Amino acid sequence: MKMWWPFRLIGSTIRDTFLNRHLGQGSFDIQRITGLILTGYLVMHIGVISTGLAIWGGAETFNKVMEATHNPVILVMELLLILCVVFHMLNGIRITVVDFFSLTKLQDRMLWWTGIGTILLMLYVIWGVLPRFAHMAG
Amino acid sequence: MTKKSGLWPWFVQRVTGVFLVFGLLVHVIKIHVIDKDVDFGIVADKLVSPGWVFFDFLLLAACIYHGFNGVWQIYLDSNPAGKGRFVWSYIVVAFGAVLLVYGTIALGAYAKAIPEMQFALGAR
Repeated sequence: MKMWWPFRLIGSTIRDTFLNRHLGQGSFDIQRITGLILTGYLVMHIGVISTGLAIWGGAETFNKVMEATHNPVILVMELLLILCVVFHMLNGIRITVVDFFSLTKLQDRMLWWTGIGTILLMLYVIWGVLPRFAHMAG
Repeated sequence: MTKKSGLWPWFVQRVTGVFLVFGLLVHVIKIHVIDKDVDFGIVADKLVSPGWVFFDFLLLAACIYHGFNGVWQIYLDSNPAGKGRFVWSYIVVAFGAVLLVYGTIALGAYAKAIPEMQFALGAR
């Protein structure tokens, strides 16, 4: 009797991560976890933006919701979200390049570029873009 | 989604991924860097041009496909039985379709470029 599928997924992920100590396993795990987070965010984002519809009250509701997001907790969560996007994007580009140009030999090096690229991009976001969001710190 | 080849979903996942790299960068830069704040008026002003309406719609469709296809891949890794696969495939597709329709209607709430939709939804 197979276990229910979410438990199978979690169990096999934990087992694979312990058994396979290569960098690629970690990147695969993080790609999937960030993917799940981003899909969940997508659903929420559509819900939030759709508060501008007349059935939810139109412009006033939307503006009220936007005002409510002007606090530091949301700002921190948005930064974490950008972190998820940046890693998922850079790693996804690496996967696509390997898939279409068969560059399997360069994979490990590209993975290091992904990690460094993520850090650099996040630094740019924090130092270059964050001051524009100062008004959001409540 | 049980017997057909997985070639097209695999391929479209990569294509939507590449599109999203540029599309999301444009989206975030346009909203947070160019138009600093976000309120109904600013969004509506941006969506006066049909170009932005069309771009936002493409972005919505690409995001939904890429995200839901990704989630479906994760589910497939659990090697589900035929009946479970059948049921969940319809649930995932239905959820994605509903989200696409709902998101497009929400887009229409701001889109001055489509005055007929504006009037029907009475968003103002």
